[in-house]
Amino acid sequence: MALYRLHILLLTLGAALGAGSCSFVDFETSPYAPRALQAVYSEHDDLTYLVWRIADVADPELLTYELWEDGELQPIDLSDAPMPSEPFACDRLYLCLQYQVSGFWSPPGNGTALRATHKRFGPIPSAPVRPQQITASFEIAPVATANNRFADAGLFDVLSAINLPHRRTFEWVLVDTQPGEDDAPCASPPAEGWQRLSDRVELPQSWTDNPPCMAVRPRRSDQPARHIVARLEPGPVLHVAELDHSIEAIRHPTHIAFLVDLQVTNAGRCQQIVDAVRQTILSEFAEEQKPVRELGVYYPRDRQGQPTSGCDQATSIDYPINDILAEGRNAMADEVERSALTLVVINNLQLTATPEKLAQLQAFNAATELPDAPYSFAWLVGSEASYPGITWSWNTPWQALESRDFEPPLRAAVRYIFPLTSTPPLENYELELPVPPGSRTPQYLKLCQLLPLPTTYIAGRREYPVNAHQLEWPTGELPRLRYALTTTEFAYYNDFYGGSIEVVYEVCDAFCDNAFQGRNGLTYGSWLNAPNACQWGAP
Amino acid sequence: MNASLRPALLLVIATAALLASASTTHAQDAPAGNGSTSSAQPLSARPTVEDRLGDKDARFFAHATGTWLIRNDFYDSPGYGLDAGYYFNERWGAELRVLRLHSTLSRAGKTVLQQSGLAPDLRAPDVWLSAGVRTSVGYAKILLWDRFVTRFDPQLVAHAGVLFAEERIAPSVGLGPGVLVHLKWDLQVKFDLLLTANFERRQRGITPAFGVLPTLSFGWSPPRGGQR
Repeated sequence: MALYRLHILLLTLGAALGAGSCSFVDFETSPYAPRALQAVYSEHDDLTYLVWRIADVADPELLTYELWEDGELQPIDLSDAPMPSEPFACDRLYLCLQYQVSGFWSPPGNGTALRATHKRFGPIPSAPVRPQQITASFEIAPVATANNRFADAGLFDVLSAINLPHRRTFEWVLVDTQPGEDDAPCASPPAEGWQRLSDRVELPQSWTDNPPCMAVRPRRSDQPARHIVARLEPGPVLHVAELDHSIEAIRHPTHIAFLVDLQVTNAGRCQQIVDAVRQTILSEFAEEQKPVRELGVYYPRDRQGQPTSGCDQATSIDYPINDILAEGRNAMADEVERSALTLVVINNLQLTATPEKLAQLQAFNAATELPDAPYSFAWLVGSEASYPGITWSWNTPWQALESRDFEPPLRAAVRYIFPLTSTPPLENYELELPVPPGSRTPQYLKLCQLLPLPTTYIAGRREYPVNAHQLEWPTGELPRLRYALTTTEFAYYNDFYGGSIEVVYEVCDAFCDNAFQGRNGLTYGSWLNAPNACQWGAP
Repeated sequence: MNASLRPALLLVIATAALLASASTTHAQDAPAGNGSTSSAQPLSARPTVEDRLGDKDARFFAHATGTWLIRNDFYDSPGYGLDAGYYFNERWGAELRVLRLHSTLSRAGKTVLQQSGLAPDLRAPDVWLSAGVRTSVGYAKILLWDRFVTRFDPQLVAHAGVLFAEERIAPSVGLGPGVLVHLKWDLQVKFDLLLTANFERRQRGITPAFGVLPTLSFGWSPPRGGQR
């Protein structure tokens, strides 16, 4: 009876425990299960590359493997593979493991090709294998780089191309060519002297005198792997130059004359206004350290041709423009560049000026077209309504002398306008291209970057369009580029943009028709025949 | 007796009985004086059947523990560990627990894995670290099989901590009853039956896994300084 009760008790306890246990378990592919097993046989290598994956959260140290060989699953040690590798991250969420089998490996028709055994959880089968066959697992196309100091084997990993994540290293050696023709076959590579292949391998000096072949093979731990050999041709010897040429600016000398035509009853007050305008403008030139030459203060003339006070418009008839122009012409004789004759007309009224005055001002503006005359710059301090039909280069509205807005517009005008600035004539502007540093015997030139675009490349007496297929370097002189740019004349100082010319070109000294590798990593068959590609940068 | 005094007498008797019953609820709070119940004792003293053999007040303890985590998760998870704690008084104690679980796939789990490569989306539990409180709800003495006199505390236990399961770490809690049996020489046997919940981040997100954690512990509680 007691035993019966104990049995009931244990059953009850077990049921209670079971009822309290619920883990909502789903089944998923084990992190340790070998997935996506790939087998690729390379005829050239006579080797079958095997790659499989486990989840990246799995600890690969907990697994051992068995592979289907000779009709049964046999233990394998991944470190004993011909090309061993530590597990490596691949396909984002996985660790890839690899193994190689000599010869052609075929999976079982019906069964497990690979089995992992977890130290704790036991055996785990792999998913079905995906066999594949390729001719060779790699290809090479060696090209010399950096003016033949280095070489890039141009290694193309076929395994990567077919999405087989596999890690291996390569080694290389230079092999003599058979004496004779240029396209003579390469000799057999030596057993010794192989070096680890990197993206760029250093070449011996003077190798271009007798171009050799380059042999490359994967590195195997058990025996030498089969190699591929190809001729290594010298690359073009290139030198680059980068020009950043600024177009010179012509600063025109400023000659300034003040013409007073006020209506102020008080003579002292009138003189005070004239002095204020004059000193404000001249002091701003001084503060900005802009050179200026004052030609003087001029006053209108009366009916008798005599100068007036400049403070009574009722008596003034016309302006002494001819005197001002003559003075300006005299002053310009002292300058190297054409001067800008600035006439500051000071008028505080909005009454229409006399026809004589308007005619004089038109004569002033028209004088700029005369040969050997200064550039006429008419600056009105007053109202344009007083001078119908007159074009003013600049106008500053009249402000009372006591106003806080009296000085700022005058000073701002000086800062913004002067000195008037021009460029030299740019319609046929030519830029000389110096020999790039390092270049000794330039033969050809390639224009890599142009801003703005020139019209013509000039090599001695010959002229080429800049997009010509081949640009020869002239003998005995430097080449030039010709530009058709827009000339700027008498621009305001702050508006002036003289512009600059940027030219990047590379010059070939030797082997110009050979293949080269651009900085973008692409290899081009011929430097001379790849017009849009420079070694300097991407095309 | 005057009839008018009867209600008052009944009130006094009822009050005395209430106080006496209240005092028994504190029977475990302190050791008794000299043993047997006496009507000469003041009403405030609790009646004591006999002196408490195993007291816990202000004493440390350390227990070696055997366990088996049951979650219906296709893993067999036996384990062992260590409890170490301290009783602040006869009722309340705190403890730290570390359990090392040797989890393997159950037979069914192994079959599924070997045949299909599928495994439970729960990871195999490896280590459980937790801290908890323990309260004694009583103290009792029973005679087993007419031969063994056993003194024990029925207890309630609550734990919170983390469960390390392969590469995952799951917050975990446990709650349940326990029995603390007092043996000679301050030795103790302890049995807990915790209902557990582990919150493990699986592919489908954080999903709770409920289970049972029975533990059987054996250990020693060193006496307070100067005693015994």
